[in-house]
Amino acid sequence: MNDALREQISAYADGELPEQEAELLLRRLEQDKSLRDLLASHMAVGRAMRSEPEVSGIGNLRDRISTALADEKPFNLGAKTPVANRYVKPFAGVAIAASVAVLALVGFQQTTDSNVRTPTAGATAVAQVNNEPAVYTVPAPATESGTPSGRLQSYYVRHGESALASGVNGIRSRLVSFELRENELIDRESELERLESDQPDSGK
Amino acid sequence: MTDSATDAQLVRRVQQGEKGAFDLLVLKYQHKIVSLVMRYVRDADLALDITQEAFLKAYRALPRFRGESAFYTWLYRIAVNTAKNHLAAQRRRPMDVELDLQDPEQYDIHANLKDIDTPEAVSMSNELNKIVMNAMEALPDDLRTAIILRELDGMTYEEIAETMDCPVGTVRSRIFRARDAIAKKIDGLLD
Repeated sequence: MNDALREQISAYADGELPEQEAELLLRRLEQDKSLRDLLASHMAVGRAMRSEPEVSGIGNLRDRISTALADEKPFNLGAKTPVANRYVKPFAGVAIAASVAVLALVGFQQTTDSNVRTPTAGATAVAQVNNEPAVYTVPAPATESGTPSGRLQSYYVRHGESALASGVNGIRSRLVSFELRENELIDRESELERLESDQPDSGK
Repeated sequence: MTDSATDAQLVRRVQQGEKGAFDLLVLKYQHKIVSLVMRYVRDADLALDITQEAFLKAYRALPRFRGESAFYTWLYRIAVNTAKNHLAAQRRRPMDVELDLQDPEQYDIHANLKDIDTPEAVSMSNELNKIVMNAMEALPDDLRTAIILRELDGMTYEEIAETMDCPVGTVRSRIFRARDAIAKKIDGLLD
């Protein structure tokens, strides 16, 4: 037992220990009977100095009470169950670590996917996760240049046509007609219209 | 941390199953309760038995203690009732019937104890006083002043620091060293 701890106990006996220190010391005192005995001896000094009368046999009273309470079941009001804590805490730590790892993996995968844009990457991931044969073929995303695949393009066109036929100016159709070229958004619809209008002339 | 805050924390810890916290409460209040009980019964052994019973009752009732009153007030009432019940069982009257013992604030805990000291207890007390006085005289001036201001004059550390013109941390250290030196001298004399 070091002097700093004994000094803390002395200050606690006087009610002069700062709150932060007192809380920690109280827990140590609860756990360690030898610390409580030291506290008792510090309190006895004050009584002896003040010549307070001691009732013969009072020094054993604490032990008598402790012995009488030894067989009593400790209360458990509003307490976190120590057993549960003992097992839950490490598992909670592992679970948090695992979650972070999964998030990091998913994040990394998404970053990789968006950078590489390999058509098969998504399908492979799906097949690996499900551990079943992939029955769904992921449509090939846009190529590096930002041009949609032929299948996707035809879908956009059909969607746009049906939207126009139903009198709706499809915003999505309009949006997907933009294409990223050398970090610039090019309106493909306007460009197609311009090309179409240009073609007869060039054919002449 | 105030006295009542410390008690409330200890009570919570007992309610959560920490028996060591109850030992701290016993340590803190055992002398007060024994002195209180001795207002009802003259016999020291009987007073200790009743005090023990009061503490056991308090422990068993702690799950129902909601902190609406201070722990000591609650414990005080349990002790008074335990002593009264004991006297009722013996069909005797308490010694200090004129006092309102239901009120812990009105009660001077050491008022009548000297009247009921046995010759052995008086002799023991005199011996203890002599040892304590010698131990105090052997202390360096600054330690002796600090412990006297604290234990006999009841000053706070801050007041002592002001009186002695030194930091509070120094006061804390001086009181500890003085107390430690005296405790070593009287250790073994107190049972």
